[in-house]
Amino acid sequence: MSPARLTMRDSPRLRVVLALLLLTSFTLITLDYKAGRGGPFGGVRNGISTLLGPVQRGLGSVFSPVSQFVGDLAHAGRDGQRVRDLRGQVAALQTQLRGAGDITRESKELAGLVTLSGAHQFSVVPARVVAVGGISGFDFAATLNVGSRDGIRPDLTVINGEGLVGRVLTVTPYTCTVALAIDPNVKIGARLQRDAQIGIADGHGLAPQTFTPTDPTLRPKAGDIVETFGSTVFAPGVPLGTVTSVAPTPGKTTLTAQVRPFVDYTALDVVGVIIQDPRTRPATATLPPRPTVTVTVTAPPAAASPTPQQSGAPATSSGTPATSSGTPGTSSGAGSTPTPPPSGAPATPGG
Amino acid sequence: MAPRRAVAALWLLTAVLLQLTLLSRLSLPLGPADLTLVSVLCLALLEGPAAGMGYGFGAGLVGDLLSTHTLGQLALVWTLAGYVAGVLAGADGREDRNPLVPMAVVGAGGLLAAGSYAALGVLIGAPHAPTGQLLRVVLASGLYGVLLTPFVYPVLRGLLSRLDPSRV
Repeated sequence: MSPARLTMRDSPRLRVVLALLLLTSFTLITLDYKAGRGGPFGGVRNGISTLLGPVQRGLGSVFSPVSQFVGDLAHAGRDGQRVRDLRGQVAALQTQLRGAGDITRESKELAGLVTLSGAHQFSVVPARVVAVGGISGFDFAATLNVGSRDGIRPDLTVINGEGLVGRVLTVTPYTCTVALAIDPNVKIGARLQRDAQIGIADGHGLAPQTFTPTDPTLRPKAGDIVETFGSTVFAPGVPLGTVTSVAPTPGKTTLTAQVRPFVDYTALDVVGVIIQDPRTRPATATLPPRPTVTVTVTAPPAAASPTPQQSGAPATSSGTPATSSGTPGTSSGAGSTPTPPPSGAPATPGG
Repeated sequence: MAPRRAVAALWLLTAVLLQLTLLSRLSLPLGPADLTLVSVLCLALLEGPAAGMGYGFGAGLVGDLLSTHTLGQLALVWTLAGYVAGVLAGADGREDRNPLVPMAVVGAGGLLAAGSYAALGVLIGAPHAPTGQLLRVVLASGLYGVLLTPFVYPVLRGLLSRLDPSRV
């Protein structure tokens, strides 16, 4: 009773414990921030995610209708299911349209060397979002119901019907955590679909994404489509969003374009993780298989080799004027060259 | 003491999981409701500063581990929040507390804790969302904290007093 009462009050001893806990937190922040991802606590993080992952999966599928229902309430008066269906159709058609734009540009530039059919050879593992955000409301991450048992590895690209969702950050056997493309930590190598200007796309949370072209003299236009250009992390050709406005970056020489993302990051549900063959290099992972080239050599028809004849012809032609001019004693080569200067030299000063 | 701690810990774990799987996905106006922080503050009000900072540290650490931000950020802020709320509870007679007191403490605590968390993130130089958006999430934490307290506080108080009627 009395020790219980004691804990109800503030005391010097309690402050020591408080100081210790705060110090521990500070130490954790320092170590984890310096180490970045993986770090000394990567194992602990993975452990606890592995432990709670199945529970999250279960709860997530139970609560999915609830959050959908609340979302529908927020848009009262509209038939949520119908809207979702139509949205799915629109998204599918838009994806086709964007793909067509890509093929037109690439076929122009690369003349069929690389076709975007490569970009559509993605094999995708479908997944559902079971948890979003961190616990604090300040994180931009999502947990999916697929994990290493389904072939998911860190750094894989996650898409949905509308475009880029994010990339896989950590993986447990049954779940994985995805850093959304709008996460302020995420930088995406991106390009404009119209003219393949490359640049960096940055996330700013729920504020619009930005696209900064590498070449400051090139100016993106409103309406340009931004897509990933393919790096070690992101698969190439995945649409990100549309440029809405362009302005100079404050304090820098580059331009920054505001990008309205295609994906609604507040209403993520069904997504796909792009599984790439880990044995292929990222740069060639989406190229079609190398064609086997057969060169057939046909023997040319029996004709006299023309090259010696050609080299001999000028000698005879230059020799002809030399003999016709009738200057004796000079060689044919020397005789032909002085002939034009006497006619040209008086003409220039006189004119 | 032990069953009380077990119940409180179980409650907090449930709150963390509900937070991740349901509350964060509701896309409420402003930002998500922070059930875990509300639970920590209510437990601190009921159990005092020692328990408050303990629960704050524990829940914060689990929250940190399940999130993508720097480890220890929530633990630091929630330890302080639990301690301060506990000290406030000690100054106030718990027997017949005005029901508005927990709401006020949780509301203010929600604002301060979420604000400190965001400020800490900015201070350590972690990339963050624009300030306006951070402020909205902070506001949501305070506002929804006030709204959740009338449900969380009495339930927790009932649970804990049933386990040990000599207290509370």
